[in-house]
Amino acid sequence: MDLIKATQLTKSFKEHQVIKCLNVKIEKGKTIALIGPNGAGKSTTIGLLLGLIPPTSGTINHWCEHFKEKVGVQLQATPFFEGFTVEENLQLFASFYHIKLDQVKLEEKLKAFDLLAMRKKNATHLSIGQQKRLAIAVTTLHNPELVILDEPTAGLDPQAQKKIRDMLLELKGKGMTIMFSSHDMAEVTKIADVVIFLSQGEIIAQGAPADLLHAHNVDHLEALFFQLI
Amino acid sequence: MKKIFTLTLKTTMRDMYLLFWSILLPVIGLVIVRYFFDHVSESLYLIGGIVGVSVLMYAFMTTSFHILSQRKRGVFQLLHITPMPLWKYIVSTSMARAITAILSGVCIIVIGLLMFQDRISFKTFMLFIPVFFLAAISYVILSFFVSSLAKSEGQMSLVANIITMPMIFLSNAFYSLESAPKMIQTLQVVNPYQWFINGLHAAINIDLSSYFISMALLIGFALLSSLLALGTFKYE
Repeated sequence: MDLIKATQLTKSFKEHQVIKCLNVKIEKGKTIALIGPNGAGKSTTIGLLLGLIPPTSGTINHWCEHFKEKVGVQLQATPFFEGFTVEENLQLFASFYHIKLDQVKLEEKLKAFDLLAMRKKNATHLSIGQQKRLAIAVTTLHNPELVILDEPTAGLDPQAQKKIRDMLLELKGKGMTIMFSSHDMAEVTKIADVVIFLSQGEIIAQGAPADLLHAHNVDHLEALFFQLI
Repeated sequence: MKKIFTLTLKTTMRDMYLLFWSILLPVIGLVIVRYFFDHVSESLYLIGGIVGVSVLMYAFMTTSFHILSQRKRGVFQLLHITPMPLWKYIVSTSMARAITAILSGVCIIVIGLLMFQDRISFKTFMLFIPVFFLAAISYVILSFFVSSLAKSEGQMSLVANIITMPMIFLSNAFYSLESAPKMIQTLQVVNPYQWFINGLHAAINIDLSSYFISMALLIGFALLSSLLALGTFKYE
């Protein structure tokens, strides 16, 4: 089953066409990695798929009418409500999804994302790694069917990257459908079932990592990236 | 909605900016008038004027900058992809901010009364609260609209000043406009800040007909602000 199916999608900002005839589908249970150089259109694609950005042309079909209740999103900037602590942000987002987060559930969530010690800290004062963990905690609050993460490990040190990677693998293990954008080819190799290469708003290759490597006669995704881009 | 309201109220109450801008500055104003001017007549009107400015500044200025900052951070984009309807978010946060504005207004009144060794009746005090609430909620909701007009803090400052300064100066919060040119008097009649001041003055004089006219005008202004806020809201 396709959770999201985008057909012939284009997006222009004034004269500049940033997305050119994109056909993307997010299959239930799969982990899809969106990769490409800076400015390739990854964040715009995510915005289009979520309905945050209206397309210039093309269609996007979501698997259910109230898909917002079943999707969790981490945006690249990991924004949080200003002046709110870590636990207040979790409680606030929980209320957006009509979830009652009692103390037990709240502490479970904080523990699961290694945020218990900083629960009373202003969320905007956290380190980048902590903010990313909080963003993913917010993303998964309502146990969504689909999780979309825009560069979840960008700007993190190797230890923090590993923590996020482990979290993604845990979500994958639970059977969640995941779409994430990344520049880290090792991460993509470890996590993704399907890889979509995007360049200048166009898909230049997509498929299972092993199939792509075989088809292009390369050993690893980084080599394929340099070959394609 | 209840959770959004309580959490917003909690965070606004511990905002140190609130203390400085909305309570301390008006109190400094009261101190200056009380101790540096020889004769102050009608101190209740003066306190009313200063409280009015404080409520306007907190409800409108502080909220406008806060909303702009949230928008620039991308918080509203996240809100957009949740099932939370926009109107519920605006109403809940506006209520919380209006309550905070009322509390800061009440603090200034109490300090002002102590300073001028004046007193108000319980009836006047009770009549003040709904006027504060309606004015504060109108200005908070209006700030959602106004913050959509600005792209940066610099623009926000300009737009906010363009709106608040004429509102204050075209009112009789601190001086009478009886001998002002006809055009100024006409503008005063359609000034939402004047409706707020009229409500406060009517509460002081316990003039109920004037009080309810001000309340009706403020309700109309709140509804108009709501339509503008919902119609123009920008998620990013």
